[in-house]
Amino acid sequence: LRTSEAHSIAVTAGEILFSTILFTCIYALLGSLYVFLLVKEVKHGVELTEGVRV
Amino acid sequence: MDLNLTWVLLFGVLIAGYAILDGFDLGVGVLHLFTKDEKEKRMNINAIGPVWDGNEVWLLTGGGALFAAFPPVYATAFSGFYLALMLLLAALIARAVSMEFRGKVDSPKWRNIWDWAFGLGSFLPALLFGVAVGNVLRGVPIDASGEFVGTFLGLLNPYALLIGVLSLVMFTMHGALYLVMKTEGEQQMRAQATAAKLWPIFVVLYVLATVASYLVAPYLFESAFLRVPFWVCAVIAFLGIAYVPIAMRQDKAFPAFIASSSAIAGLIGVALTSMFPKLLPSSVDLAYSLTAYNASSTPPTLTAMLIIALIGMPLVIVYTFVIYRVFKGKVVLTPDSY
Repeated sequence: LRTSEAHSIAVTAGEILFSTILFTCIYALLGSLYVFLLVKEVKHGVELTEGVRV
Repeated sequence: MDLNLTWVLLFGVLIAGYAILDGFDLGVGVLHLFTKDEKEKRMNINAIGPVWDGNEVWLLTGGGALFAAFPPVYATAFSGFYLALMLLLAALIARAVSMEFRGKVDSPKWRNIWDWAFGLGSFLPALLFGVAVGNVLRGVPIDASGEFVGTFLGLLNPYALLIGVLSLVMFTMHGALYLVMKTEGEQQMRAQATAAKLWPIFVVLYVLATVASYLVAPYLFESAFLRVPFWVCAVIAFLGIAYVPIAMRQDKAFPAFIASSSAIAGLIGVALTSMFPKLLPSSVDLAYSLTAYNASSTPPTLTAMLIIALIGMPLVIVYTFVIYRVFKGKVVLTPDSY
């Protein structure tokens, strides 16, 4: 069964393009936010509690 | 009871379970749009924090059950509702990350962005749930070969939007009743007042929806009244709806929540028993409808799945009970909370 035979007839190429762009944007945004928060946490460092030696 | 009927019943249980469970956390998200106080906003998120994602899994299992038990229904509905489902996914993603991200940066602007993501990401699914149910009840354009031949804008017809507003109000009231259980003091009183205000609106919308259904989809009323399961669901829905304000007046928070849960389950049962055996009616010609019998998997598949479901579902029910027991009682905010 080839992709050309198996795709949804009701879904148009434009709709596929739309959802591909949508998810690319969502994941790009979430990825950048993740890196932003990760860098922020690393710079912030570990909260040291009493009795812990580094 | 034959296999196909059993699977319609199981699918109904999954969708009703989803509506009851995700219904209240979507409702809390809608109410979040109207919450001003920072502490109350955090209470909203922490009230649903430990349970919302487990609740959403019921939608996945519902979709999975549909895929395996009634593949043509799944194929036609998911292709036909493609853009609507993409919109739903975007909303659910925004809502999921908003709860995690909101408290990560100590800035009012940052929190404000995620408050909107959380609120709108809850509003949209609460509305779209009803829009989807409305379209299914009304029937969608399906041709003789079972293909969806409608458009995205066609899904936003007045009848479907009416059912959408009904589910939005129903879930918001349900969410307010949940907050009455999980909060204290002023916030609790406000949630109670909100639920009390939404109840009459819900009843009016329900009556309107019933009249509209009669006009738009008369087939629903053809044989429903002759069916015992229909009446069982109708009575459960009616008792649930009627008991909500009674329980609230007596300050019984949990019974009020159970009552709105039965109302939701009852209404979904009413819809399903009215449609049966149709699962996806065709608005082109009712004869083209996908039913529990012309659109099902083979009996061996249904049997194998039934065995898996009979093992899996009790496990799900048990862990759901355990989680709600662990997190029972009022929400207490700590520095580690959301």
